[in-house]
This record gives sequence, structure tokens and C-alpha cells, in this order.
Amino acid sequence: MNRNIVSGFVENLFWILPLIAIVSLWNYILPIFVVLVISYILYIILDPIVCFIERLIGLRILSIMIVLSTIAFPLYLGGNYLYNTIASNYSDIKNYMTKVVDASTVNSDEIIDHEEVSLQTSTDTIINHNEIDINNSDETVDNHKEIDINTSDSKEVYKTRVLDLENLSSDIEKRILPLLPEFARESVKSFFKEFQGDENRKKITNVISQYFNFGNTIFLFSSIGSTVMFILITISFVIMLLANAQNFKKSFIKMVPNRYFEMSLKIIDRISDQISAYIRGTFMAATIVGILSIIALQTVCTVFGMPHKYIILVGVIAGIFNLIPFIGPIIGAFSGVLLFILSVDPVDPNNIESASFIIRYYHIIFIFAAFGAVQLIDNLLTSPLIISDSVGLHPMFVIIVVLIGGYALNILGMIIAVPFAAILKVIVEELTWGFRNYQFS
Amino acid sequence: MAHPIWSNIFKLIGKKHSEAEIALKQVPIFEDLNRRELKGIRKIVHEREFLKDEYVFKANTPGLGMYIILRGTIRIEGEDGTEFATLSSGDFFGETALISEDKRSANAKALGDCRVIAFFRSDLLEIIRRSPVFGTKILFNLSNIMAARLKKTNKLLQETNPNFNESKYS
Repeated sequence: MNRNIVSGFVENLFWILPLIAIVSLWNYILPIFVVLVISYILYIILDPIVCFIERLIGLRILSIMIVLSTIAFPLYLGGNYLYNTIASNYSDIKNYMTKVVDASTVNSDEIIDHEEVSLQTSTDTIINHNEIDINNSDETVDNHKEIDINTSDSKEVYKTRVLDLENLSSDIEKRILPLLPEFARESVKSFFKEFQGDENRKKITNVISQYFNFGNTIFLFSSIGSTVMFILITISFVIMLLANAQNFKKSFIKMVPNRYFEMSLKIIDRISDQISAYIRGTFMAATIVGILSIIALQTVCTVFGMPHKYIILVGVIAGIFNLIPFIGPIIGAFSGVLLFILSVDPVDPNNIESASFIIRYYHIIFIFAAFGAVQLIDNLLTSPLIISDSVGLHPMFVIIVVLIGGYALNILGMIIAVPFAAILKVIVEELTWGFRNYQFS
Repeated sequence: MAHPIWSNIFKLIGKKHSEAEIALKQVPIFEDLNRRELKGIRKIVHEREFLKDEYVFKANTPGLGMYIILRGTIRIEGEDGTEFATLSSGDFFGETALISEDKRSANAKALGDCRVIAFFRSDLLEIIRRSPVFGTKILFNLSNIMAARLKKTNKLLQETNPNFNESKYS
């Protein structure tokens, strides 16, 4: 009896030991884990293409190189363009929504984004100043002055961005008010007053910065080292996975005792099949939603002559947030509307005729309709065709999972919650299947 | 002159097929593969060792693929323990599972310490996905074996039962 327990324990060491190591070293493993997950997702997406080329030329490693280099070139050019567009859109919006203040005056909860400069000696000061000039060339001159003033009397300076609700709300108010009927103006004004009191502002910024904390995501990337390092590691992992993913599976299977050999192989195959089908499907659905959003928004804006500066950014946001069920599409649509409002020039209430474009309520309805059409196409056509039903989760379960993910890791958590839950569900299902179909003695 | 680096290199060059590759070459399914393809198979298959009285697989479990015996003997038996066949090195069994996902119809038990090569349906599918020509060769050989078996079974049935009509069962 006693001997059985010991031998059972030793037999299961092959998965207990790595699990213990992972749990105890979780904090150190997390950044690498992110790299691994990203390269695994890339591997799953690229593998069919590599296989297709391998069928033509017959050499695996050569086809990997061909795929990576053919992807890298347009990705570099297109990505450069896309990155520049998105980055300039994003910094526009960021400058719009936030303002630069001295960190010492701000409650730390309010901070959206650190732009940290620490200065030790006077010689360092000069060098760092140059760096600031290079890094923040798009910043306004006033900010530089702010730094100059601050550096003169203190050794350490933190420049901090804080959500500038006052400016934002007054700006939106300015744009919306002229198009409202007389009787509604007062209530809308009082609604925007809410944002402008000092106490209320603090309350709201605290709530918002809690949920829209980009620091989380950025931390994960910066802790690996520089972005270049991150990209290099990811690329080499992807190459290794593409070249011999089979070998990894084989060497793991080698450690499994004979009794569980067939079962574990079968379970691993089924799990990896389902997960790769799910990831490919989700990725394709997100890409399609993003592209469809861009097309729909562009069409609506061209047909009705609406100016919209941030169409590509909205498409990217809609694509990414579409990973969050139920809530995601709504966020996408609202971002489309909000960015539309921001891209229209403010109207002078006293001289409405002079304005080049005036927002009417039906313009916003058009945008919502465009997103509705995209969702309709996605839900009726693409998703049922692409995403397999095998990982279907109950809608209530999905909502619960998304909320939990949101509490745990904010936006990032909401995005990864459903794929994570789906993967867990597949693993549990396949394990129960395995134990039902194989008997042990 | 006998520097270890050089001796190792020459050892590598001079090295003929490994034990597993020779065994693979003897199996009819892999018989007309060229050297590169054989090497590819060698990379994919799993080599495992079974002790005396250990089961390679049991009846009524999902069939995964075939096994090729490198060393030792393996007994194929019914669920109640009646012996169907005893196989030794160079023999293979379970090849029907490469094609159909049905449950295993018999137990396979190691009579002594054994070393086997396992080749599974998922590996075959991977080969077909990556290089259809290579996969077709294996599939063709596999169906050849099945056809020969079917012929033999039909003949046996006809001998024992003169009223047996082949078309009725196909």
C-alpha cells in the first residue's frame, strides 16, 4: 500500500515537478510566459502557411524562412504606416484627453502615464534634457518650460499625465450643445458640470484610471527588456516552434509512464487541435471585424460627408475589443462615435452658419448603424463559419468570466478571459473524456 | 591524427541506419521510402520500452495507431485472455487504427521486456498535411496490406462456408 503511494508519486513527477516550479517562480516566469503565449499564437497562425509552402518546395526550414521574410517585408512597410497612423492618432487623443502636471501635486491613483526623468548631477541634466527633446518632440513648448522651471529648484522631476476631464468634457459640450434643442441644453450643461467640479473630477479620474490602466500592459513588455529584445526573442521562439513543435511534444510524451502513454498522447492531440482551431478562428474573426469596421465607417462617412480622422484607429480598437463578448462591440461602437465627435471642429454657438460641419443626432445613428451592420455580418456569417462550436461557452458563463477577468487584470484581463476560459474548458473536457475511455489497472 | 573531433565526424559519416531505421524499413508500410523520408519518419515516431506483463494497449480503448516491435515478444489476446497471436521483433500490429478511430479489439501484452516503435494516426495526418506525396506512399502501402488481408479472409471464409457470398458483405 505504502509502496504504491510512493511509486504513484514518482510516476507523476513528470508533471508535478514542472507545475511546482511554475507556481513558485510565477513572478519571474510571467514575462517569459507572455512571450511564449505570443509566439505560440503566432506559430498557430503561421503554421498552415508554412505547411502550404512546404508542400510546394519540400523543405521545412526553407519554407519557414520564406514565410517569415515575405511577411516581414510588407509587415514592415505596412506596419510602419499603420503604426505611424495609429501612434499619431493615439498621441492626438492622449494629448486631448490628458494634461501634463507636476507629479507632486497629484494623487497617485490619477496618474495615467509616467514620463519619468530623474536627474542626479548638473551634467546629467543637460544630457537628459537633450533626451527629453528627442523623445517628446511632439510635446508643446510649455511642457519644456515646465521642466526647466522644475529642474532649477529640485533634483528629481516627475512629469505626469493626468486624465484631463475638464477640458475633454467642456470640449465635447462645446461640440454637442449647438445641435440640441433649447429645452435640453440646460440639463446637458448640468450633466457636463458634473465633470468640472474639482471633487467630482477626482472621483471620476480615479474610477477611470482604475479601469483604463495601460500601465499593466506596458509593464509586461518593459520588464522583458527592450522592445527589440522582446521582438528578437519572439521571432526566434516562433522559428523554433515552426521548425520542430513535434519534437517538444515528443520529448514530453517520452516522460509519461507507459500506463498513461496512449491516453496522454490522445488528450494532448485533441487539446492542441481544438485550441489551434479556436485561436485561428478568433484571430480571423477579429481581423474581419476590424477590416469590416474600417470599410463600414469609411463608407458611411463618405456617403454622408462626415469628417472622421481616426477611422483606422477605430477599426483596430473594434477588432481588438471584439475579443470581449457582448461588451466589446459596444466599446468599439462608442469609440467610433467619441472619436468622430472629437474629429469635428468645434462650432461657435453664435455663428452656426460659418461652421464647415455640424454634428446632428442622425450622424451618430449612422455610425451606430454601421457598427450594427458589422456585428450582424460577424454574428450571422463569419463567426459561425470560422469559430468551431466545440468550445461554445454558455453566455452567462462568458459574462461572469469577462467580469472576473476585468477585476483581475483590467482591460487586458477582459480580452484574454474568454480564450483562457475556453482553453481551460477544452482541457477539462478532454481529461474527463480520457478518463472515461481508458481504464487503469 | 586520432583527434576526437575527427574521429567523431567520421563516426557520424560512417554511421549506417540506426536500429530503428532498419526495423522501419522492414515494415511493408514504409518499404519503398527513400532515405530522407525514412529519416523523417524516424523523427516522428515514438520509441518506448515495456516491461514484462505490461499492456501496450487494452481492448475497448480508442485506437491510436500501430506498433512495430524492435526487440522482445508481444502477445495479442482477447479480453478474456485467449491468445490470438504472438509477435516478435520486426512484426507490427494495430495498423487498422491508423485509419479508423474504432476501439481496439484486443489486448497487447508484453511477454518479456520489449522495445517498440509507435506510429500514430496524428503523425500520419501531420505527414499528409506537410507533404502529400510522402503521405500518399504510406497510405497506398497501408491499403495494399488491407487488401491482401481482405483477400485472405475472403478465401478462408469461402473455404469454410461454400454459401458465402462476397458481395453481400462488402
